[in-house]
Amino acid sequence: MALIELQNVTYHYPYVKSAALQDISCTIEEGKFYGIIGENGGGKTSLCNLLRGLIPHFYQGKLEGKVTIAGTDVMEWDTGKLAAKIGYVFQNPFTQISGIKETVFEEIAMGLENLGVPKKEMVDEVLRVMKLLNIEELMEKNPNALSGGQRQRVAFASILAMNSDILVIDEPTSQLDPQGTQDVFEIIQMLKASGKTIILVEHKIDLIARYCDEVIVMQGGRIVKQGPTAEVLSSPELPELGAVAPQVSQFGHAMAAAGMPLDHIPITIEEAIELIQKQKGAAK
Amino acid sequence: MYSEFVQKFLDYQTYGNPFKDLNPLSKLNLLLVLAFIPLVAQHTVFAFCLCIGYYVLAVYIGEFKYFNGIFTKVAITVLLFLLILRQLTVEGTTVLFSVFGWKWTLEAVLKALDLGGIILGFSGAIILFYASTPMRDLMYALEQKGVSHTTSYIILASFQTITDLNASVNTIFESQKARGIEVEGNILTRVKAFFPILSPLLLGAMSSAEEKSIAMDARAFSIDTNHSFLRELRPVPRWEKALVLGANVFFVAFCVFRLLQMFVF
Repeated sequence: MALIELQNVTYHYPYVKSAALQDISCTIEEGKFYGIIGENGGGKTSLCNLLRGLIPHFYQGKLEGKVTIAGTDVMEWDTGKLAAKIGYVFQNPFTQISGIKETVFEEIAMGLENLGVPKKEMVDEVLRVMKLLNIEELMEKNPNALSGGQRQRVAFASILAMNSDILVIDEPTSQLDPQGTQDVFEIIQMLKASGKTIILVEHKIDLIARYCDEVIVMQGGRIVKQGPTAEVLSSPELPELGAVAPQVSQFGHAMAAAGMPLDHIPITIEEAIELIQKQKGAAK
Repeated sequence: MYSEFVQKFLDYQTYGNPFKDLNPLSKLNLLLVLAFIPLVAQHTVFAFCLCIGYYVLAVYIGEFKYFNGIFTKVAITVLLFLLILRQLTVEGTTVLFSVFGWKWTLEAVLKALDLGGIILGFSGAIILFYASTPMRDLMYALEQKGVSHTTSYIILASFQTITDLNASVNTIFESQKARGIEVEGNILTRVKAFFPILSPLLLGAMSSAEEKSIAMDARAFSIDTNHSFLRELRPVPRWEKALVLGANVFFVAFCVFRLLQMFVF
């Protein structure tokens, strides 16, 4: 079922002549995990703002085309209800801290306070999310005194606690180490398994390859390629579209160019190993 | 089973001190009554006794250091200013001492203490209120009385913004130092180094404000539902309501008495 539908959407930020998004058409289906990739300045964050309804509610500008969220035109949505429906974690972890709470525990509970969740439920939910993100040791700390990575986890936890149906996540791992990044992806995978719809902007292409159902490639404010992850990431034209291809798919193309093509172009290491072993077995 | 830290949120927020545990608005009301009494009474000795009372209360609530730090500075500034001003404006006959021919008189000193007592009696109450009441408790109490949570957020966030801007100034200074720009030394050097940082500071603050408002929107800040509170203050007990009412009735009666004293008796 289509949750968000964009039809021929073009958007200009206020006082800017060139369009940030041009002729965007795509459908976000319920329960799927979408990865958005592409060059810097390609329109990924603007697309997130559009999917989250910040365009046109927060950023005024000029919007053409049709945007529907859960069957209702985006203009008809109340911004508060939209916030409860679609969770949004954005790039900069330093501005996602409210600045009015004295402990991380209270910071994470803030969204639930706004939603009017009863106190006992609120406490249980905050504890659950903190455990999920492994940030229980930060519970009593001042959120304004955390490092970038810690703030990023707290910001993520604050949105997760609100239990939205759809999550738009813009580079949630930019401040995290490899283990932290892996943990976040596993949590996102778990959210997907629980039926949530996830839209993720991320440069770590190997993780996109491993976890996403579909990939959208953005360049110059346009969607230049979209489809199932394996189909998009195995495409040889990916570098020309300003996106980085997974190393194993580059390897697959190189093998084909060397006259030793694999069964198909792999996008994850496990898949590549399997294909090579299969090819070696066939050669024997 | 919750940890002690989490359990605190499930209970009402208390500080284990009867004065600190008063509802912020009750406390403000009682302290304002105290603050205005010296003004209505026009009694210098009473005003200074009240200041001693504030000190006693500050010790009782465990905030002596905070209270003393601010109140002493206010007292010295106010009294020094008034003493000099009164020596210049009041003509007295009882000379206490002379500084390079400038005669300081007892009458001027007494006049300065009259006004100083009223000002310190008032400011002491306000300082004591802030010493005994976290801002978020005051905002909680105001929200319960119908103040919008947006107003509450703006006031609370302003305090953090000051800290954040301070941190940004230091960061910009450090980056300028790293580029070899002189930012330390005499006042002129510091002033010259300060002006160029204003534009990046202001632009940065504006950009953060935009992102912060999106962050708050993401937390459903604007949703039209009754908010719940993780931290709750205890409901105002009857005795506290009676105390506030009694203080107000006393204050009104005292004002009437003073008016009668001035115009009738």
